[in-house]
Amino acid sequence: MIKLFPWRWSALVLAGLMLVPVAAPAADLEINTPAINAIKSSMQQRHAQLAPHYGSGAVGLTRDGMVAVRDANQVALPKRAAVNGLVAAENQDRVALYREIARANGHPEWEAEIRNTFAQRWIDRAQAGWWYQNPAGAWTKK
Amino acid sequence: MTRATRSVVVAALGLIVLAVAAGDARVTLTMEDIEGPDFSARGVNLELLGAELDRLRLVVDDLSVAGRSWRGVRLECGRFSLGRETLTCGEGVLRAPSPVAVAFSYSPASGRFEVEVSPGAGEFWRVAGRAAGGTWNLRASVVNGNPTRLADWLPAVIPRPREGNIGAEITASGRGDQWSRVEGNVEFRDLAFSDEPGLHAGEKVAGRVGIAATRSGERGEWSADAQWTSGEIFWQPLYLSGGGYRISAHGSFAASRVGVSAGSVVLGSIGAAAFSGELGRAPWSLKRLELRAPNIELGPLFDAVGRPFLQQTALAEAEAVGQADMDLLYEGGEVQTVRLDVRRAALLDTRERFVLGGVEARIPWSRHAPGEGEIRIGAGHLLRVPFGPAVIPLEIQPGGFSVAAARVPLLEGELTLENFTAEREGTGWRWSLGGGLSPVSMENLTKALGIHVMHGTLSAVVPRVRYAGATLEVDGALLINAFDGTAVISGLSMQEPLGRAPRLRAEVDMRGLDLDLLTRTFDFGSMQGKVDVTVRGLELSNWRPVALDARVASSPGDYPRKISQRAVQNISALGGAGAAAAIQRSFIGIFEQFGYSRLGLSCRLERGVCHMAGIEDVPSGYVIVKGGGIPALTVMGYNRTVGWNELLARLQRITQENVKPVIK
Amino acid sequence: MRLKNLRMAVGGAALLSIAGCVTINIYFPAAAAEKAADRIIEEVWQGQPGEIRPKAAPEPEGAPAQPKQ
Repeated sequence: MIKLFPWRWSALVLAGLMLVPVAAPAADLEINTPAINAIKSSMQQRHAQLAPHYGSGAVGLTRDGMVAVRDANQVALPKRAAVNGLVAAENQDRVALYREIARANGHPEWEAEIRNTFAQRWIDRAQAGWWYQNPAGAWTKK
Repeated sequence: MTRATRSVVVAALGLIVLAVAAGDARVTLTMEDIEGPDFSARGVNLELLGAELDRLRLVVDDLSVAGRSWRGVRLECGRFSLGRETLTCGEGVLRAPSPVAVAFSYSPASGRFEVEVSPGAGEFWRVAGRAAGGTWNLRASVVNGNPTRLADWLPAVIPRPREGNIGAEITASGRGDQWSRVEGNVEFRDLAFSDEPGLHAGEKVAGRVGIAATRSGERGEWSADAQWTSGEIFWQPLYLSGGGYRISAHGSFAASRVGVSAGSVVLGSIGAAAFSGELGRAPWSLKRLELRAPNIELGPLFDAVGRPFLQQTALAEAEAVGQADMDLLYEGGEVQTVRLDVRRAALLDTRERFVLGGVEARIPWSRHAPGEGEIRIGAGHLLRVPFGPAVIPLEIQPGGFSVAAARVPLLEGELTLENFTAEREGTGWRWSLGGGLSPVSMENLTKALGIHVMHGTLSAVVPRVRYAGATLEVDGALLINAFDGTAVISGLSMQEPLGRAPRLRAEVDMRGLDLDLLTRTFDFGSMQGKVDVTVRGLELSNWRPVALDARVASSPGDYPRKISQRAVQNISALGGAGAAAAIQRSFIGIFEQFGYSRLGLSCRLERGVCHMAGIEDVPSGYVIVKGGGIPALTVMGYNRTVGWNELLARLQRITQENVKPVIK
Repeated sequence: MRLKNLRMAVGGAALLSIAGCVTINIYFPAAAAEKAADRIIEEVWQGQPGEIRPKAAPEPEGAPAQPKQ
């Protein structure tokens, strides 16, 4: 007798199905979309390069959810252009991230609120010694 | 200067108080207030001390010179003499408030004066000269000068000097408040400077600046020569190092303008340029500039000034070689003409995404009249797909450019470009084009791209593509012939195609795709027949589907319909865990291939979940493959929802793992 | 602070809707946004690429496979 679908094989498929992601409960924001994941992993990779500059104070967190060159004097001259590039790329990603989260949840008009929320949380979760802009825009060391 | 001196003298005469104390001689001179242009002193107290009145002590409570002020300035001269001819101060110390060694002398009769300040060991700032009969001349020199002393005197827009060493020799002469000749030479080394945020900074900078000018009345002649020999400078976003930069020019000037003629600038390994032009005075402005830069080396130019501005583009990791001639004319506040000739140039991506070789270009642009240019490309490749050679004729308008028609060989086919127009819109560009691709073999194309080898031919007709405001839209439909069928892509639009999260929307209709070619290509298990694929509301974000309503179904018509055991398994797997194959008659199991009458599967993707259906519903599920002929077979699906990522993972597993049916 | 303002605004809006029959049905989910921000920030600042935590609890769906006889 030929069995085209042995049980063992079907069970494998069934096990695979156990991982099917279910639609997120309404209380959570949708943040698991291809675009958001792509932006996130790009930012993750960049963070390894940015972290020393947060630590030295060359780059700080702005009050509007972005990053900025605060004191380039902390960086050797030939590397300053690269820091500028990192900051520009990070900000591009951040703008895209806020917009994509708003879009993914069907409310593009939330972008500004999402950016504000992030601005506060980036600063709240920053490591001690990093620089951020206080609500008045002045650079402050955490 | 002379005017200031006069007013000081007048004020002093009115306020002299003499006091001679017993035993020791003492002369005290007190002045409430001395005013001059750019100069004021309040609470001035001058004392001459010692038996011979050979020591001087001058105290000024508030001193202000050229907008800067000090409090409690003290000057003491250890050797002071006030002879009939000359006033001298030797062994002097000026405290304002830190002590600085000073010496000066003044001879009212001859008008000679000399001031020497030595704020540090071996450091001297000297001014000597003569003012008599309305004419004056002076010589200023600096030896081992520390440029940080100038920091507070420089305009706020200039980065502050942090360290370094300056030597200078400046001579000037004139009459009254008019200079008639100035000549100067300043040399600097180990100069470091920076603005507050460090975005305009230099380190270990060495160089020389020379200027000379003569004037009579409002008119005169000037010349200047500046050289930067070594060190590094970061001037956001440019980083320049090594020196080898030189700029020199001469010209004439009048009350309202400065003419520049025979200017030349040498930019290290980039090349040299000649320039001339005119500056307006009060306020300073560029009236006219004519620049001619022949034989510019594109490699160093791209490194120094190109790449920093292209950080976030596909060109950020590119390298350029070749030469170019560039001419530019600026006048009346606008660039009037630019001519760019590029020779033997190439642009290559260090990540090998593209190469453009044998580039020759002729690009004349004028604000006033259209011109004709041309770009020739010897050969190139994009994502390893070779193209070229090509000649692209350009019609250049004041506000953009267009290409009537161009052909670019691509593999064995040809890419045609029609009615390409591009124009500036705000800070970005708006462009549109039409065109097409004459048939290329999918096999060659996919091999070149390094992806799954596919069969068939690819050709396309693009009626119109428009790009404006970061959105790309395709009018009409894109036609592709592949897998012996046709694909029509319509309603295609892309938002931010070059951004971090590009978004694409399209409708896709494919007709009569050959299943045999398709399943061979993707190693799915052999199937024969034809299918139609319809995708409505396709939405890709970052090139991955986030929404679609897709349906694959047998094409109408007569053709052989066969399905292999392996394909049956794979389809069942796609249907989800609930899918299962059923063999209509048990003896048919010995066959490798089965017949079918119809097959179909659809997926509506929403928020990461695929809602599936087949060709018809049955009470417990849906039919994916409906049996027909002998031997016949039916495949059912039971599961109506599958996670999209899981579905992709299964598809990948199927086409990569080469799953074999288990036969017992 | 912002949350408080928002709550007040929503509260105010609710009052208004009773008084003037205005329906306000869209508001910004501040708490959910903060939670989302925290998750993303944690991954960007601490996580390494590919180290993304699993999401919602798995849940089997559909009937098990059954060959039709």
